[in-house]
Parts: sequence; structure tokens; C-alpha cells
Amino acid sequence: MTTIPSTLRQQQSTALSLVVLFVMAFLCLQLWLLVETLETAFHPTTASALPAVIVSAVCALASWWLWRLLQRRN
Amino acid sequence: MTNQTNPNPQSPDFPINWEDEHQVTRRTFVTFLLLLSTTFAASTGLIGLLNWLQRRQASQPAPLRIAQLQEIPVGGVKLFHYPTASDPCLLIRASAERLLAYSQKCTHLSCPVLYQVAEQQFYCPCHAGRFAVEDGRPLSGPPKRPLPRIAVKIISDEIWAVGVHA
Repeated sequence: MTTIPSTLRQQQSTALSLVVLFVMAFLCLQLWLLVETLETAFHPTTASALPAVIVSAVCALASWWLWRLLQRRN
Repeated sequence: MTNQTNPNPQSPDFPINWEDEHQVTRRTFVTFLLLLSTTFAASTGLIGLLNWLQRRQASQPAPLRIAQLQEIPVGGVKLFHYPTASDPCLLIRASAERLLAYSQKCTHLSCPVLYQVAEQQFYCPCHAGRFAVEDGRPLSGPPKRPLPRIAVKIISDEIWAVGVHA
């Protein structure tokens, strides 16, 4: 059985924690955008929801990229 | 009977460690967050698309007669509903020739705004939002968007609402 050096294990753990932190931050932003878009839906003549949709999609892509990064590190 | 070490002495017939069974690793948690993120993005996109379709289909409403010009004195206010019966609006006669009309729904959470003559402002009593009477722009409080303006026309001494400008 191969053992992972403790420093590398520590690095992996830090990277994982950072990924969790970033994904959670993206998620908070997305939740805020979703609420804003819902509010816009009640006032259809006042504002466009397109910027919120774009930013939310970018956040989802960034989260997906971080998740892929995490899978590759295994 | 086998001589097995039981991790949970309180339930000898159920030798499964509950904590091990229900442990969620950080990787699993990230996967769950990713699914949630995708759901949020998809929901935002769907609502945005429905909103866009709704805006596209909404045509300019039919003109509506509000009042006779003589009915409203200079500085006077009249409540009317336009374009539908559930859209309250305020008409203000700023001067003999100048008429201003806005939706009465606050752009924050749709509370009805009140016209304050002395301050020349619209005031929302729900969260103390204020709007300028000249152009409906938000002055203070939580509202960020201006009040939708109602286009009005005077046709043979009658005031008509002819459209809504966001």
C-alpha cells in the first residue's frame, strides 16, 4: 500500500477546501441573481434579466471547471 | 454466538456505525453544490426566457380616457388604472399644460406610493422609498428602478393614457 506524504495530503486538503469555498461563493451569488430575476419577472417592463442569466451561467461553468479540476487530482 | 467487537454497544444486534454510513465527504458535498449551481443557472435562464417572451408578446395597451382636463386643478391628483384594472396609476397636473402620470406600484415590492405635494415626491410607506415627481427616478430608500411612466395626451380637453414607458 502506498502512502501519500503528509505535505501532499495537506496540499490536497487545502485545495479541496478552497474549491468548496469558491463553489459556495458562486452559489450565493447565483441565489441572489435568481431572486433578482424573479423580482424582474414581476415587473416585466422595467428591466432585462439577460445580465443575471449570463452571470449565473458563468458561475455554473466556473463551478463545473473547479469540480473537473478536483476530479483530475484524484 | 461469535465473539465480534461491536462498535455500538447500545445496539448489539445492529453492528453498523451510523456515523460512517452517513458521512458526507467534501468531494460529495462539492458534487451536490455543483448540481445546485446548475439548477440555479437553469432556473434563472428559464425565468429570464419567460420574462423575455412575455415582454415580446406584450403590445402597447389601448388608449384609455382618464378624465376631463377641467376635472383636475393645477397641483391636483387623480387615481386611475392603466393598462389593466390591477395597475393603479397617479395623474398629476403639475401646471396648466403639464401632466405627469406614473404607475403607483413601488418598484421595490409593489406597495402603492403616495404623492407628497410639499416635497414634490412620491413616498412609499412600506420601506420609505422616495421618487422624484419630475421623472419618477428613485431618490432614496430600497427602490433602484424608476417608476414606470404613463404617456398621457390631451385630446379635445380630455386626458388620455396612451402607453407605458419603463
